Amino acid sequence: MSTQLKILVGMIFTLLTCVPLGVIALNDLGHDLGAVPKNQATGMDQRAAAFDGRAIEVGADLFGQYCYPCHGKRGEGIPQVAPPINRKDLFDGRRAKEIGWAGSIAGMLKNTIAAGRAVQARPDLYSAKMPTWSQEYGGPLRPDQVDALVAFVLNWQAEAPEVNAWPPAGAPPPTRTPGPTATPGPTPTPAPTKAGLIAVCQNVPAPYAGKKAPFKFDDKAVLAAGKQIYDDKCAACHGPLGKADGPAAAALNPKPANLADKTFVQGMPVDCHFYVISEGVKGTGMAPWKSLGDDALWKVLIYERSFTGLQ
Amino acid sequence: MFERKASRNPLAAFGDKMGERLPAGLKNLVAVLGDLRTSEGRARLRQQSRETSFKVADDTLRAVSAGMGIADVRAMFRGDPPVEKPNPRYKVFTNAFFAHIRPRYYEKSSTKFTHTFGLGFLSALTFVVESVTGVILMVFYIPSQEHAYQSMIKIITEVPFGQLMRDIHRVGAELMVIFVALHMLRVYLTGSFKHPRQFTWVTGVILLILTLGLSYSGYLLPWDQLAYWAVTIGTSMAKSAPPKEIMGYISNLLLRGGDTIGQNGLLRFYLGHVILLPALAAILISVHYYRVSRLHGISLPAGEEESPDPAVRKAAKGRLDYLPEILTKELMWVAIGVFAMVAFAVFAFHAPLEHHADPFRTPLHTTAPWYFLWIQGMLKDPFVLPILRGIRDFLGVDLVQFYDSPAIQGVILPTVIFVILFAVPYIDEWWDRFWGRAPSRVGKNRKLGIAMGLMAVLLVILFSYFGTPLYAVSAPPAVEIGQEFMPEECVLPPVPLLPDNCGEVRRLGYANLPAGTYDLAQYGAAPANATRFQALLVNLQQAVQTQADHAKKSSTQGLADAQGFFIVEEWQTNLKKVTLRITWTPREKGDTGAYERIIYLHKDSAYE
Repeated sequence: MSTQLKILVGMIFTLLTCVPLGVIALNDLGHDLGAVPKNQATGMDQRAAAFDGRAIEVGADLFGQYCYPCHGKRGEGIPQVAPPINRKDLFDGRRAKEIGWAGSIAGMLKNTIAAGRAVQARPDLYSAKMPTWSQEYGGPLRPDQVDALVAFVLNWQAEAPEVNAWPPAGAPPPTRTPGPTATPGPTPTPAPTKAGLIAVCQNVPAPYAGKKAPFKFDDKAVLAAGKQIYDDKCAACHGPLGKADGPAAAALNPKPANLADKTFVQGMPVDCHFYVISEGVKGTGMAPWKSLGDDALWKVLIYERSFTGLQ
Repeated sequence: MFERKASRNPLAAFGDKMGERLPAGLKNLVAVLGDLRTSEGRARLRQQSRETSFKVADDTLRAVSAGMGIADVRAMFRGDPPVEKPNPRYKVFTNAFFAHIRPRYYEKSSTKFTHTFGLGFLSALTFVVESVTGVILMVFYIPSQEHAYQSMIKIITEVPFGQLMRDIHRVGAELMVIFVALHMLRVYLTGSFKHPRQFTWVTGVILLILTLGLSYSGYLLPWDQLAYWAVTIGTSMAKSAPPKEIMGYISNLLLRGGDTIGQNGLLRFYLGHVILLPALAAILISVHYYRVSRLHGISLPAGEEESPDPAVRKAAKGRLDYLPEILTKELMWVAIGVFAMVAFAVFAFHAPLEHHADPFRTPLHTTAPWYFLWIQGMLKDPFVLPILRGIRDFLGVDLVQFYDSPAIQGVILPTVIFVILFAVPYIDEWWDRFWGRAPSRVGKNRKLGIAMGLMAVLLVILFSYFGTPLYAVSAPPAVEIGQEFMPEECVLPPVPLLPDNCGEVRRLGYANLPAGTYDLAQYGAAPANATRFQALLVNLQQAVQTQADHAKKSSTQGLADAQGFFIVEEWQTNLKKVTLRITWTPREKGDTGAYERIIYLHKDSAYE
């Protein structure tokens, strides 16, 4: 090949490279270049919308794992347990004004999910206490998961119904919002019963198998510390005495484990128990609580075991 | 009497008068101003300024090119012979720092495309492309657990050309591994590693390791599920380095920065990826190339080098000057290569981005990156273990216990393989000496070596296949159906040239999934002019039915009386909930007899 020909070919390909680059320029900078009308989405806008949509999908998945036991599958709330969140006044600013929140609605949601509610708004109406969900506050969710949940909750905004979630004291409590709540279908998923849990316990993986408690089972200080964490994080579903009768238990399917049931606890050796509270149980409402740290979990475990007296 | 000279410039006269008292520069300026007054003077000035500017340009170019003037550069690009003597095109290589590493000429036959396929050059090109795109990506990337994934989304959705940079960087990374591996294979097959180029081969193997390290360390940075678990699998091998309690513990700690990969591990991989490995690679590439170009030259085709005909040998060694032949050729290939990579990234490829990394959620069928699949395949081991078991059963020599450990299969064996790779040229030399043969690069004298090389390639491909989930891994049948039609992950945006891993349901998309509860039993066969949705239901039913049929024939496999339901619900504004529920009659203790896979689909998420 002669020198000139090589130079020519090189120049042609250099110019050709401008074609795909131009395609990207139109895609990414269509609005700035004036090539795409302002009311039309550029390729980059579509990508941004796709990731926003994806965050909502992730949020929906998390809501279906962690939030529905108290707030209902579609955020319609559960009387006596937790208020509806699919309701208009939450999104149009009325609720924010009521509680004196000066920031954005998204900020209010994020703050509530991440940090929980230190003080219950109306224990007479809703008995469950909003726990802290973000890992920053000792909960199980990462910050990006909290953001995804906010995106999902905010997606109710457009069609949220008007619900009076906060009737004055003495008035009859709000009833359940009508509408489809449970996933229809001929055969609902059977709850993983004791057999299911035993299956979990037959297969305790490596770091957990054979673990032993680092504390004594009758240590009063440990029991007191465990009770504190239990009441805060576990009692909403498992009940104050482990009888699976917490306010949120009603809505759960599968039902939470009855920690006061001797046969049940017998089928769950200590290492399996620790495994379950660390990693959670897939397909159930049981969340992984690993982020609390081994010490705290062992204390909770010892307190939970005190319901049956089994070690 | 004062005498006026008409022709004389009064200013010049003034200058004369001031005599030696004026500085020379000022005197010149005065002279120039005087010249401007006459046409003759102006012509002289024009001539002078032309000469001066040419001289300045020429000097500048000579300084930059370390020896070549304008006339010669011009002649060079026109393909003309050099205009000055001695040939200034050779001076460049002794005088200039950057050109110093290039040779004055290549030997003619070594530049034949079918001899080298330009693989070394292409490896270097991808390294440069990776460096440029990598630096641009670094501007927007934050190496922290909380922000890494978010900065990937930002690069894709907010930074103009950001997605393109990421795509090219990814394409370049894959190509670099491919080119480096093929380059090594070519060098092996043509016997170019033989004396005197043995140590060049060693630097090449180091570069192979650095390339793999660069690619692998970059794999973690997006901090998505794909990245997190591929790297978790890879680094888990370091954990079993013997002795486990010391080496395993230390290497795991050094790599991951903790028991599992977290913020420390991410930062380590990031710094390795952007500083340590590129710096080492740049140095090693320089050493490697210096040896190739200045010390030994690129090897000649063996047949020509060892030809009995002196004319052939002489012709092969004919000179092809770097300036201009090789330079223009390289520039041409740079233009073609960059075009190919950009066009591919724009029209045919997008780097995947899965969900945010989640240490609590192991995806089904996690694999290492494709270039490490062979190690994963060795861990599954379909060959050696059965052979060793056979030896144990028939001869009573038990090597199984010794061999069957991640330490042997995942660490020691790969290490041994790389040690052998380093030693290849020395083993080869020893082998020739052992048989008392003259070393030869010609294929017909190296039948054993070439056969072993090809065998090694076949084994790597075979073990890579064993490493994929296609081989000897399967989840319970219902889970596999869920994974096939509604996988956990779907790469976004769609990747046209990679196998579709989004599953039929996501590919059908939000708009094409009408709400309702569908009993799959009613979709045994596709109705005439079935919609895509009906076709999906039929496919689902067939998958479920296959398992039910399996169960009729076997008491352990399949799902007895399997039934499927497919449920689509309007869940929120622009959001649908899609449930696949499979129920069957449990046959074992602990079998729940039901499986549910739920995904949510948003209108904009654009999986179609």
